[in-house]
Amino acid sequence: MPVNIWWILILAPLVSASLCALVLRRWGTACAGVSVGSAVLCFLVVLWGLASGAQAPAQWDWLSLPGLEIALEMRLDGLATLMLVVVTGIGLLVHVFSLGYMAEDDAKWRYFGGLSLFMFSMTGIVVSDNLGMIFVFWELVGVSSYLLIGHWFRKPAASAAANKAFLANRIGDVGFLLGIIGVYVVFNTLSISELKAILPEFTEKMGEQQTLVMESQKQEGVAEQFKVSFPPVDVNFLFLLIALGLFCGAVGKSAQFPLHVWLPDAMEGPTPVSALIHAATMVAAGVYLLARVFFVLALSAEALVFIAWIGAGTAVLAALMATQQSDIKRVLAYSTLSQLGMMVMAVGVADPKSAMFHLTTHAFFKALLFLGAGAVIHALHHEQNIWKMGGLARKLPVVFITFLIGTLALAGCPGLSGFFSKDAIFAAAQERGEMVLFWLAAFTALLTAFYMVRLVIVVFLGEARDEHVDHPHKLGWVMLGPLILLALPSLAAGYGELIPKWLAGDNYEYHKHDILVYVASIGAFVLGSAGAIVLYYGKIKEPLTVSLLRDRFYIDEFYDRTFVRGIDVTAALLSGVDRWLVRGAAVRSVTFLVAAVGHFCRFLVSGSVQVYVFFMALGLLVLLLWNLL
Amino acid sequence: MDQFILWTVLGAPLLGVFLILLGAPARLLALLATGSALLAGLALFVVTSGGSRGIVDAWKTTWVQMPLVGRVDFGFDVDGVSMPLVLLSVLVAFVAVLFTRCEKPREAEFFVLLLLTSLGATAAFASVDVISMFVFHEVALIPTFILIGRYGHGFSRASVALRMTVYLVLGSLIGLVGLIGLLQLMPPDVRTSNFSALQEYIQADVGLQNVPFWIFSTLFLGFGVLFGLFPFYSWAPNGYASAPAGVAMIHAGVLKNFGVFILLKLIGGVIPLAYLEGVQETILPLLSVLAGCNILILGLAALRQERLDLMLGYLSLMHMGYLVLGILADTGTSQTAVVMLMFGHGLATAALFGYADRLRKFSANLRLDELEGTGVKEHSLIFVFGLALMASLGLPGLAPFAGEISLLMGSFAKMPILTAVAVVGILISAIVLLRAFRKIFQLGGGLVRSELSVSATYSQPEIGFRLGSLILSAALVLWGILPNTLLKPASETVENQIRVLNAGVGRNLDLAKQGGSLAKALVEDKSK
Amino acid sequence: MNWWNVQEFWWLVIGSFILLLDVFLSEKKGIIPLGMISLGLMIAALVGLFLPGYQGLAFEGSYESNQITLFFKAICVAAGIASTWMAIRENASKSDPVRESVSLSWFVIAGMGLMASARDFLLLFVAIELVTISFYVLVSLRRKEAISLEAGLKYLITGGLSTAFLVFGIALIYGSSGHLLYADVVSSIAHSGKKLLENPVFISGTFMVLAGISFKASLIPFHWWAPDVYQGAPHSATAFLSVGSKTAGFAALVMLLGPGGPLSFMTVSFGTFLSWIAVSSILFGSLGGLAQRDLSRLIGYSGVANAGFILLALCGGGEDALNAALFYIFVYGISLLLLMLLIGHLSVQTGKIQFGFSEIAGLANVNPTLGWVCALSVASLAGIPPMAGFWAKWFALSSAWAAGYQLQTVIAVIGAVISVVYYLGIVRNVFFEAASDVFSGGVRVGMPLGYRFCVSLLLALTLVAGFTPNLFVKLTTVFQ
Repeated sequence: MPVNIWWILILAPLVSASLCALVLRRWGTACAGVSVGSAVLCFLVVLWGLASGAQAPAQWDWLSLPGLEIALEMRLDGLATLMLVVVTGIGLLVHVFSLGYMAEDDAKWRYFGGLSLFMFSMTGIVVSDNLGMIFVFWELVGVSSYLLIGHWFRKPAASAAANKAFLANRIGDVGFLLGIIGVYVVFNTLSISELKAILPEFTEKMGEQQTLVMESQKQEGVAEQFKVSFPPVDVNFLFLLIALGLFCGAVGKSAQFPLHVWLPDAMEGPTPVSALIHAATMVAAGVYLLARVFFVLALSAEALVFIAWIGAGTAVLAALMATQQSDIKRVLAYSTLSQLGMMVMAVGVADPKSAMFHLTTHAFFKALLFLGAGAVIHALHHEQNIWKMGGLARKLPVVFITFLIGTLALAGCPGLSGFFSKDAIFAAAQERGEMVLFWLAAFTALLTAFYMVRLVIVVFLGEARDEHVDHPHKLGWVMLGPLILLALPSLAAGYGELIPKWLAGDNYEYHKHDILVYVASIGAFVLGSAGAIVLYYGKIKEPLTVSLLRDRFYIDEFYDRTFVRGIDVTAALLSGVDRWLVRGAAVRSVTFLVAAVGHFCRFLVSGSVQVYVFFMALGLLVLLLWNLL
Repeated sequence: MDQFILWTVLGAPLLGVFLILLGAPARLLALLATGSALLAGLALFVVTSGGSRGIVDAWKTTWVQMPLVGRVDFGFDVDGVSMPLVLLSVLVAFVAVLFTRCEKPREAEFFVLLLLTSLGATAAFASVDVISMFVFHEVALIPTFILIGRYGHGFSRASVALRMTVYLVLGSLIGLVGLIGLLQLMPPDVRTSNFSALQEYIQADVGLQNVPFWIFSTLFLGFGVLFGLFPFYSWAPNGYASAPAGVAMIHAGVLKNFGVFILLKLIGGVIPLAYLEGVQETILPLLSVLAGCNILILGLAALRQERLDLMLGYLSLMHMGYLVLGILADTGTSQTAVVMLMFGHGLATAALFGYADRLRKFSANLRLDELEGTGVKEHSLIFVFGLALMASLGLPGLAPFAGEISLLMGSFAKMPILTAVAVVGILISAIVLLRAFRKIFQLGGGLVRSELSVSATYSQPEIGFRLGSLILSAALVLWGILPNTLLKPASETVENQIRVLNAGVGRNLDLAKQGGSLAKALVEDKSK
Repeated sequence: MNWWNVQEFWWLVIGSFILLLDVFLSEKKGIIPLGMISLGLMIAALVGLFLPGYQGLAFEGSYESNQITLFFKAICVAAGIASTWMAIRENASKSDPVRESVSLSWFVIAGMGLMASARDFLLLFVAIELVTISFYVLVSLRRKEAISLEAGLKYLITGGLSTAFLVFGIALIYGSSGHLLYADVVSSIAHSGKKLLENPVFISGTFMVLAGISFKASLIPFHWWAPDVYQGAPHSATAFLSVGSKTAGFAALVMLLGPGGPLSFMTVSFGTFLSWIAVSSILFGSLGGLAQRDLSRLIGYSGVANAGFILLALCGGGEDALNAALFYIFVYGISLLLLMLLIGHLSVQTGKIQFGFSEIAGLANVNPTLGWVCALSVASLAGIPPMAGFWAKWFALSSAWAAGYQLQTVIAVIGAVISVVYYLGIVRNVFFEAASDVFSGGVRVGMPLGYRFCVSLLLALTLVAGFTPNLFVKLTTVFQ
């Protein structure tokens, strides 16, 4: 069997992670080298594989039982290859950037090992053709995120954030797993290719708003078949449950409302990690997943509506929160949330392609923004408060220019990549006739322009407001290079319908957006940035404070008071069952009863011979009477 | 050759016992004995996991022949279901010996008892006969009692050991009543407790087709006590907390699975739930509620524990709920998954108990508050502990996950609600374990205190500990990546049993795979 | 079979001979010469049981010797050997040794043998009296101990009452059926067209006879004496009582209730009745023992529970049940003798007459071997595999279940679990506690050769019976 080069994509980071964790612990620089090497290798493999058109390799059986197959089988369609390019490309740049950013860290083996583990699992998600295998890598991604957020685990906030991230993801994964189980139970396969084969009529309708309409006699037949093992339920309801289950996975990983709370906290991790995992790739995995299984989601119209509304809600909420943050990374984090919400909304309005389009452009400019923020933080000796910055444009010109490009792309400045992808989402909502969603999206775009311009003004323009600004840390080319390399696609990735074509393959057809879309999008950009300039230009401290927004609608506090407390209280109650009912009442009463009867028996054997004689006679009498009567 | 391997697995520890009794250096010999058993176990794994040769037959002989109780066979074989457990048993035994030390004067006694405990478990899993299985399991009873009471931790260890042993005797004797009832259903001339004979008899009507549900209930509740079915679990947490590390590892990781194993053997091969009239309506709902309680109540009770060892005890009980789910769901996939899950969770639990014992170097009573941040001193421990913890909370790529996911997949169609509860349970175990991990290894608050308390007793981990944790971690990863090597043989055995059962009654017990009907129905409807 | 083939006859002769020797032997010689002669002869008697040619009827059908009776006799004689040896050791170092036990043991085993072999109510009565009266003396042999005298008195009074029951029962049976020979009673039942079975006089007689025998076997409700007497008697007598006397009681019971016995009209309700007697004995023995701290007393309770198990095995009826019961008796005998020998040995070594939980505490620290002997014998009594006691319990429970007494089986199991608490309690004290005061002050707990031999033999038997029970499931076939 000839060795298939695609395996390198998965194996190289795995080998690198193992080397870092097991062998090279004492040699941090070697770890960094191995890890960066594996990232380079991955990127080259992707490029070479795409260029040569290498076939996907044969499947590797991970778990195969009769009727249950979870095999590592690669599915390298346009969706996957696009995502591969994003993941390995940005991954490579972040690896390189980390060389500079983490140069002084004393646990490089953990950091670079974690990065490699992440690359391993992320490429796994991207290429897998099997929902079970996706779940496997899904969880592994969660772990690498946990490890990297908690990299500085001696900071209580960092370890708390890591735990929070892991648990929030787990909550989502519980739903995801149930969804996968649902798919297995209903369709008896976990392979996406097989699912597509089983549901040919549904795959054709992918992208349209039509969902499966079950004729009545079909439903009866199905119910008959199902009665054996399953209570007869409405099939549409089943599809809804499956879709919601799968969506749960995306809610957790892509930090959608109501599980969005972990992502801002995750900014406790090193900034390159935030760029790679918590902005560009891992959090986008949720959207990628939705696009992957869209043909299953599309079986339930209600599910799509639900998804769209969750997405839109997250987009607006997060954008509102972003306007009042004073931590440079947190602003970006909320912005990520908001953009992810837009993508999820795009899936919900049945246009996963534009979601993927936006995902791709967003990955570039958001990684760029995060790395830029990282450069700023690094330069300012780990200062993250934007009100202690200012005037950095002169000190860090390269960072400023690239950051500005990223900002404009994100804000939807006409001509930059973000403009095109955002318009695609607007158009999708508008064509679907969901005008409320459309206007929500437009409002989000307005807010986006507002807080991003605010960020640029406060950080880079005006006067320096802290002594660190005067003596910034020097930034080497390992850090500036990636910024520049990311700025290029941020500028250009929207042109030429390149990405939609890539996604759609041969059956791509171009159609023009409605004029309303352009009005809304350009209007939002202009209004938002104008508002920010008016409000923030020349200010040295926050001119307006909306505590509701600054404190994130008190959602974290609400969770603390309800769910966290609730679990504690439930645990206390249920361990009361353990302690008082089982170990206390039940066991003690049984032992007490036994001991009491035992003492009674002993009491009967009193030592008094008269009593014995009496009992013997009585016993005989009873026996006689019992048997005679 | 296969037989030679199997005899090494069982004979090496026995030989070790004799040599130690004759005065050979105890720990060294225990290491040699369990080590050669481990090598033989690995060889067993290699020869049986190919799949084509699922079974190692070994010598067997009549143990008891009496019309009253039928024929009891003494003998050992290995099939796909028992192989993972035998492997688990020898693995944990070796590491348990590596992890344990005992001060000189009673070293011989300690290691003899430890060897006997693990030998009992191995022999029980490899037995060809249900009664001899039972007997071998009980062989470990007195040794564990003395090991906990004499060599354990804490002031109340004597009464804890007594309570635990009495509880286990209660369970096994109730289980024995169930077995008596089962055997008495057969006419005396064919009565036997040999498994393969029982399987053959399934095809002839010997009374096993109509097992009264209360015999089944007796069996389930009796053996349920042995694996800590709610509410008969209270022996376990304190027992494990008081036990010396090696004993806690072997008992919690290996021996506790015996109750599940014997039920799996019986329900999988002899009395499938479909034979039991009235079970679906009466005892099955009750049992699934109990399994749900195992998962939810004991899982959340674990969250409330203030001591690491108690917490691990509750957590290991919680995992038993999953096994019950797999047994009750009674599909081919879920039964196979139970085997895999016993193996995976056994490894992870044993590892966690072993590492917890290492943490006694930092805090003698393992209170999480006192441990706060102290573990940070020992990097290798963080790594292996984290690995075992991740395994225990079901991380893909580590051994328990394969069992967990196939169990959930296989059980959902039959028991959707309990499966959903089990999925939620995954979340609970994550909360519990992460909280503990953070307390032990991440919080900085305890650093100052740790410098004070640790300095007196702290010493670098020994080579034995390092080697043991390496073996456990390697096993967790290896069988996490290659679960098929264990699942395939197990599945073949289970499917074979199902075939025999179906042939026996001439009806389809519907035990094989579940689900898949909807899509097929759609396609078929379309073609019409 | 001729009268000279009746072994009990020769045992009585030997007993008388030893009694004479006792009288003529100087006090100064102590117990050892006499004891050793007796011991050797008794071992010979035990071997003699296995010789061929001792089976058949004698005395015009009122005596029968067969494989089953030989089995019972073997157990009784073995208990006698152990008891004699223990008595020798108890008295060996005393200035005024008590030598009566040596000859009395012969009378006891002769009586026990006759109990097993009796096929005539009158012979049965005589045999029981021979045993009981000898035991009155044996129990109170520690003449200077109040507790021993008290035990003797209690045994005398309760035993007297049970004798009264027995003899009155025999009278009633004779009165209603007109016969004393078992075979004749059986045929008169048959001739009467089962009418006799409905005759209240006959039924009352039956129950009174059973009551008298239940006293020997210490079954409820005639068990009251056991804890007190076991505690007060010298350990040698306790061992003899708990193993020998109980075995003999069951021997008589088996002959009366077994196939062809005069009381073998076991209707279903009668079997159920017996099973409930068995179950209540098990529960009483198990529960009552929980609060005990003295080992001999505890063995009294445990004896009640084990008698219950033997009866439970017998309830099933038929050959299987009998085999199960015989196996149980055998295993119980060897396990208990092992424990009693240990207690007697420790008592001699430490000079402590009463041996309780607090005295035996920490034995395993003082002498690990003895600790393990204790643990293994107790494990066998408790029925924990791989000791022989497990198989015994399993057979007994299976027998009861097979006979349809499912509920009783379950209750018996619960009783067995409860009794495990105190059995393990012994192990707990032996292993987990600090060594008690008894072992301090220069007391060396060694193992003399003779003791070592006895223990090895019994322990080997227990283990072999545990590992290869199949060799023992048809115990009676070893007798030719």
